[in-house]
Amino acid sequence: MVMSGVECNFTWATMSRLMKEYRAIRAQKEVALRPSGGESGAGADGDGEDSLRAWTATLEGPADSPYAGASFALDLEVPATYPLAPPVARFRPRAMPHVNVNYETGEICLDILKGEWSPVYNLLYVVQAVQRLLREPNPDSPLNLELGVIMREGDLAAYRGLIRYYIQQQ
Amino acid sequence: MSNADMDIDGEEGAVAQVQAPEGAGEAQRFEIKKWTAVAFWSWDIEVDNCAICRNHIMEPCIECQPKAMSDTENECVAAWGVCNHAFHLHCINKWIKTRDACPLDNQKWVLARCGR
Repeated sequence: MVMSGVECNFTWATMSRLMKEYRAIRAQKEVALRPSGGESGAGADGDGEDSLRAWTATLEGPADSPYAGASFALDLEVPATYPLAPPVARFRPRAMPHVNVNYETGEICLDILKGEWSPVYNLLYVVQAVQRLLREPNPDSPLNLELGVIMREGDLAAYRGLIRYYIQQQ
Repeated sequence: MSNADMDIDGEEGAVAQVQAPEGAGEAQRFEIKKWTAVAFWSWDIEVDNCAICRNHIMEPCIECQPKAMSDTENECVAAWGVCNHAFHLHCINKWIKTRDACPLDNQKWVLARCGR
Protein backbone atom coordinates (compact mmCIF):
# COMPACT_ATOMS: atom_id res chain seq x y z
CA MET A 1 0.00 0.00 0.00
CA VAL A 2 1.39 3.36 -0.99
CA MET A 3 0.17 6.44 0.80
CA SER A 4 1.98 9.21 -1.00
CA GLY A 5 -0.20 11.58 -2.95
CA VAL A 6 1.94 11.34 -6.05
CA GLU A 7 -0.02 10.73 -9.20
CA CYS A 8 0.41 7.29 -10.71
CA ASN A 9 0.87 7.77 -14.40
CA PHE A 10 3.42 5.21 -15.48
CA THR A 11 2.43 3.48 -18.67
CA TRP A 12 2.61 -0.27 -18.91
CA ALA A 13 5.81 0.09 -20.94
CA THR A 14 7.58 2.23 -18.36
CA MET A 15 6.45 0.02 -15.50
CA SER A 16 7.48 -3.14 -17.26
CA ARG A 17 10.89 -1.75 -18.12
CA LEU A 18 11.38 -0.60 -14.51
CA MET A 19 10.51 -4.05 -13.24
CA LYS A 20 13.20 -5.52 -15.50
CA GLU A 21 15.70 -3.00 -14.20
CA TYR A 22 14.64 -3.68 -10.62
CA ARG A 23 15.41 -7.37 -11.00
CA ALA A 24 18.77 -6.66 -12.66
CA ILE A 25 19.71 -4.13 -9.98
CA ARG A 26 18.84 -6.54 -7.19
CA ALA A 27 20.98 -9.22 -8.80
CA GLN A 28 24.15 -7.11 -8.77
CA LYS A 29 26.32 -6.10 -5.84
CA GLU A 30 28.58 -3.30 -7.14
CA VAL A 31 26.15 -0.41 -6.90
CA ALA A 32 23.96 0.28 -3.85
CA LEU A 33 20.76 1.35 -5.60
CA ARG A 34 17.33 0.72 -4.12
CA PRO A 35 13.81 2.08 -4.48
CA SER A 36 13.54 4.88 -1.93
CA GLY A 37 10.53 3.24 -0.27
CA GLY A 38 13.02 0.45 0.33
CA GLU A 39 12.85 -1.79 3.36
CA SER A 40 9.72 -0.37 4.96
CA GLY A 41 7.01 0.00 2.34
CA ALA A 42 7.89 -1.31 -1.07
CA GLY A 43 10.01 -4.27 -0.07
CA ALA A 44 7.62 -6.83 -1.47
CA ASP A 45 9.00 -6.97 -4.99
CA GLY A 46 7.87 -3.51 -5.94
CA ASP A 47 4.20 -3.76 -5.15
CA GLY A 48 3.08 -0.65 -6.99
CA GLU A 49 4.31 1.82 -9.50
CA ASP A 50 4.94 4.47 -6.86
CA SER A 51 7.57 2.26 -5.30
CA LEU A 52 9.67 2.34 -8.47
CA ARG A 53 9.29 6.06 -9.05
CA ALA A 54 11.93 7.22 -6.60
CA TRP A 55 15.29 5.53 -6.06
CA THR A 56 18.24 6.21 -3.83
CA ALA A 57 21.82 5.21 -4.43
CA THR A 58 24.64 5.38 -1.92
CA LEU A 59 27.89 6.46 -3.50
CA GLU A 60 31.16 5.80 -1.72
CA GLY A 61 33.78 8.49 -2.32
CA PRO A 62 36.46 7.06 -4.64
CA ALA A 63 39.67 6.27 -2.76
CA ASP A 64 41.82 8.40 -5.07
CA SER A 65 39.60 11.48 -4.75
CA PRO A 66 38.97 14.18 -2.13
CA TYR A 67 35.72 12.32 -1.38
CA ALA A 68 37.52 9.25 0.01
CA GLY A 69 35.98 7.88 3.18
CA ALA A 70 32.69 9.73 2.79
CA SER A 71 29.44 8.45 1.33
CA PHE A 72 26.74 10.38 -0.44
CA ALA A 73 23.06 9.79 -1.16
CA LEU A 74 22.06 10.19 -4.80
CA ASP A 75 18.33 10.47 -5.44
CA LEU A 76 16.83 9.39 -8.76
CA GLU A 77 13.34 10.27 -9.86
CA VAL A 78 11.83 8.42 -12.80
CA PRO A 79 9.62 10.54 -15.09
CA ALA A 80 6.40 9.18 -16.57
CA THR A 81 7.98 9.12 -20.04
CA TYR A 82 11.02 7.05 -18.99
CA PRO A 83 13.05 5.69 -20.78
CA LEU A 84 12.40 8.27 -23.48
CA ALA A 85 13.25 10.94 -20.93
CA PRO A 86 16.16 10.56 -18.48
CA PRO A 87 15.70 10.09 -14.75
CA VAL A 88 16.27 13.20 -12.66
CA ALA A 89 19.37 12.57 -10.55
CA ARG A 90 20.42 14.88 -7.76
CA PHE A 91 22.40 14.89 -4.57
CA ARG A 92 20.80 16.10 -1.35
CA PRO A 93 20.92 19.90 -0.84
CA ARG A 94 24.16 21.18 0.68
CA ALA A 95 25.74 17.72 0.73
CA MET A 96 27.96 17.45 -2.34
CA PRO A 97 30.80 19.91 -2.90
CA HIS A 98 31.67 19.20 -6.54
CA VAL A 99 32.49 21.35 -9.55
CA ASN A 100 29.54 19.97 -11.52
CA VAL A 101 27.01 19.97 -8.70
CA ASN A 102 24.98 22.95 -7.49
CA TYR A 103 25.84 22.90 -3.79
CA GLU A 104 22.58 24.48 -2.63
CA THR A 105 20.21 22.28 -4.61
CA GLY A 106 22.23 19.16 -5.40
CA GLU A 107 21.53 19.56 -9.13
CA ILE A 108 24.06 17.72 -11.31
CA CYS A 109 25.45 18.92 -14.62
CA LEU A 110 26.06 15.76 -16.65
CA ASP A 111 25.49 15.45 -20.40
CA ILE A 112 23.75 12.08 -20.32
CA LEU A 113 21.18 13.47 -17.85
CA LYS A 114 20.33 16.16 -20.36
CA GLY A 115 20.80 16.38 -24.13
CA GLU A 116 22.92 13.25 -24.48
CA TRP A 117 20.40 10.93 -22.85
CA SER A 118 19.61 7.76 -24.77
CA PRO A 119 16.93 5.18 -23.88
CA VAL A 120 19.70 2.60 -24.06
CA TYR A 121 20.98 3.84 -20.71
CA ASN A 122 19.34 2.78 -17.48
CA LEU A 123 19.26 3.72 -13.81
CA LEU A 124 22.34 1.68 -13.00
CA TYR A 125 24.30 3.35 -15.78
CA VAL A 126 23.30 6.79 -14.51
CA VAL A 127 24.55 6.00 -11.02
CA GLN A 128 27.83 4.70 -12.43
CA ALA A 129 28.22 7.82 -14.55
CA VAL A 130 27.74 10.05 -11.51
CA GLN A 131 30.24 7.92 -9.62
CA ARG A 132 32.75 8.54 -12.42
CA LEU A 133 32.02 12.24 -12.19
CA LEU A 134 33.29 12.19 -8.59
CA ARG A 135 36.64 10.97 -9.84
CA GLU A 136 36.69 13.06 -13.02
CA PRO A 137 35.19 16.52 -12.42
CA ASN A 138 34.68 18.59 -15.54
CA PRO A 139 35.80 22.23 -15.04
CA ASP A 140 34.24 23.31 -18.36
CA SER A 141 30.67 23.24 -17.10
CA PRO A 142 30.78 24.25 -13.45
CA LEU A 143 27.68 24.51 -11.28
CA ASN A 144 29.85 25.24 -8.26
CA LEU A 145 31.65 28.41 -9.35
CA GLU A 146 33.84 28.58 -6.27
CA LEU A 147 35.32 25.14 -6.89
CA GLY A 148 35.32 25.74 -10.65
CA VAL A 149 37.55 28.78 -10.36
CA ILE A 150 39.99 27.08 -7.98
CA MET A 151 40.17 24.07 -10.25
CA ARG A 152 40.86 26.14 -13.35
CA GLU A 153 43.60 27.97 -11.56
CA GLY A 154 45.12 24.58 -10.92
CA ASP A 155 45.42 25.01 -7.16
CA LEU A 156 44.86 21.36 -6.33
CA ALA A 157 45.72 21.74 -2.65
CA ALA A 158 43.08 24.44 -2.22
CA TYR A 159 40.62 22.41 -4.29
CA ARG A 160 41.05 19.31 -2.15
CA GLY A 161 41.10 21.36 1.03
CA LEU A 162 37.83 23.12 0.24
CA ILE A 163 36.06 19.87 -0.58
CA ARG A 164 37.33 18.23 2.59
CA TYR A 165 36.22 21.29 4.56
CA TYR A 166 32.68 21.11 3.16
CA ILE A 167 32.45 17.38 3.83
CA GLN A 168 33.57 17.80 7.42
CA GLN A 169 30.91 20.45 7.96
CA GLN A 170 28.21 17.82 7.57
CA MET B 1 18.74 -22.35 -43.87
CA SER B 2 19.06 -24.62 -46.88
CA ASN B 3 19.52 -28.36 -46.60
CA ALA B 4 22.86 -28.16 -48.35
CA ASP B 5 24.29 -26.23 -45.41
CA MET B 6 23.27 -28.77 -42.82
CA ASP B 7 26.14 -30.71 -41.39
CA ILE B 8 24.74 -34.07 -40.38
CA ASP B 9 27.03 -36.91 -39.47
CA GLY B 10 26.75 -39.01 -42.60
CA GLU B 11 25.31 -42.50 -42.27
CA GLU B 12 28.11 -43.94 -44.34
CA GLY B 13 30.64 -42.43 -41.99
CA ALA B 14 28.95 -43.92 -38.95
CA VAL B 15 28.71 -47.38 -40.46
CA ALA B 16 32.30 -47.32 -41.65
CA GLN B 17 33.43 -46.47 -38.15
CA VAL B 18 31.76 -49.43 -36.49
CA GLN B 19 32.90 -51.80 -39.15
CA ALA B 20 36.50 -50.79 -39.13
CA PRO B 21 37.98 -52.18 -35.87
CA GLU B 22 38.01 -55.99 -36.11
CA GLY B 23 38.67 -56.22 -39.82
CA ALA B 24 36.50 -57.24 -42.74
CA GLY B 25 34.30 -60.30 -42.82
CA GLU B 26 33.18 -60.07 -39.21
CA ALA B 27 29.52 -59.20 -38.66
CA GLN B 28 28.65 -55.65 -37.72
CA ARG B 29 28.47 -55.39 -33.94
CA PHE B 30 25.80 -52.75 -33.99
CA GLU B 31 24.10 -50.55 -36.45
CA ILE B 32 22.23 -47.33 -36.13
CA LYS B 33 18.52 -47.98 -36.42
CA LYS B 34 17.25 -44.56 -35.49
CA TRP B 35 18.71 -41.20 -34.74
CA THR B 36 17.26 -37.88 -33.82
CA ALA B 37 18.77 -34.64 -35.06
CA VAL B 38 18.72 -31.59 -32.83
CA ALA B 39 19.36 -28.12 -34.23
CA PHE B 40 19.89 -24.79 -32.54
CA TRP B 41 19.26 -21.53 -34.27
CA SER B 42 19.36 -17.81 -33.58
CA TRP B 43 18.72 -14.65 -35.53
CA ASP B 44 21.75 -13.47 -37.45
CA ILE B 45 21.56 -9.81 -36.42
CA GLU B 46 23.79 -7.54 -34.43
CA VAL B 47 21.42 -7.00 -31.50
CA ASP B 48 18.77 -9.42 -30.40
CA ASN B 49 17.07 -7.30 -27.75
CA CYS B 50 15.55 -3.95 -28.57
CA ALA B 51 17.77 -1.57 -26.60
CA ILE B 52 14.84 0.74 -25.95
CA CYS B 53 12.25 -1.60 -24.44
CA ARG B 54 14.55 -4.62 -23.80
CA ASN B 55 12.13 -7.09 -25.37
CA HIS B 56 13.39 -9.41 -28.06
CA ILE B 57 13.48 -7.73 -31.44
CA MET B 58 11.49 -10.52 -33.08
CA GLU B 59 8.81 -10.44 -30.42
CA PRO B 60 6.32 -7.64 -29.89
CA CYS B 61 7.57 -4.50 -28.18
CA ILE B 62 6.82 -3.81 -24.56
CA GLU B 63 3.69 -1.83 -25.50
CA CYS B 64 2.29 -4.53 -27.73
CA GLN B 65 3.21 -7.41 -25.44
CA PRO B 66 -0.02 -7.37 -23.37
CA LYS B 67 -2.10 -7.64 -26.52
CA ALA B 68 0.25 -10.06 -28.26
CA MET B 69 -2.40 -12.77 -28.30
CA SER B 70 -4.74 -10.73 -30.43
CA ASP B 71 -4.19 -10.20 -34.13
CA THR B 72 -2.50 -6.79 -33.74
CA GLU B 73 0.71 -8.76 -33.19
CA ASN B 74 1.59 -8.63 -36.87
CA GLU B 75 1.93 -4.88 -36.85
CA CYS B 76 4.72 -4.78 -34.28
CA VAL B 77 7.77 -5.11 -36.52
CA ALA B 78 11.48 -4.55 -36.21
CA ALA B 79 13.18 -1.58 -37.86
CA TRP B 80 16.78 -1.33 -39.02
CA GLY B 81 18.64 1.90 -39.46
CA VAL B 82 21.37 2.44 -42.04
CA CYS B 83 23.75 1.99 -39.10
CA ASN B 84 22.46 -1.62 -38.91
CA HIS B 85 21.10 -1.15 -35.40
CA ALA B 86 17.66 -2.62 -34.91
CA PHE B 87 14.78 -1.62 -32.65
CA HIS B 88 11.05 -2.16 -32.69
CA LEU B 89 9.49 0.27 -35.13
CA HIS B 90 7.14 1.43 -32.36
CA CYS B 91 10.04 2.08 -29.97
CA ILE B 92 12.31 3.96 -32.37
CA ASN B 93 9.42 6.05 -33.69
CA LYS B 94 8.67 7.22 -30.18
CA TRP B 95 12.33 7.97 -29.47
CA ILE B 96 13.08 10.01 -32.61
CA LYS B 97 10.38 12.46 -31.58
CA THR B 98 12.68 13.28 -28.67
CA ARG B 99 15.93 13.24 -30.58
CA ASP B 100 16.47 12.14 -34.16
CA ALA B 101 19.49 9.96 -33.43
CA CYS B 102 20.17 6.26 -33.15
CA PRO B 103 20.08 5.45 -29.40
CA LEU B 104 23.15 3.23 -29.77
CA ASP B 105 25.57 5.27 -31.89
CA ASN B 106 24.11 8.78 -31.69
CA GLN B 107 24.23 9.23 -35.47
CA LYS B 108 21.23 10.67 -37.28
CA TRP B 109 18.56 7.97 -37.51
CA VAL B 110 17.86 6.91 -41.09
CA LEU B 111 15.48 4.00 -41.54
CA ALA B 112 16.91 1.35 -43.85
CA ARG B 113 14.15 -1.26 -43.70
CA CYS B 114 11.55 -2.70 -41.43
CA GLY B 115 9.74 -5.99 -41.14
CA ARG B 116 10.41 -9.38 -39.64
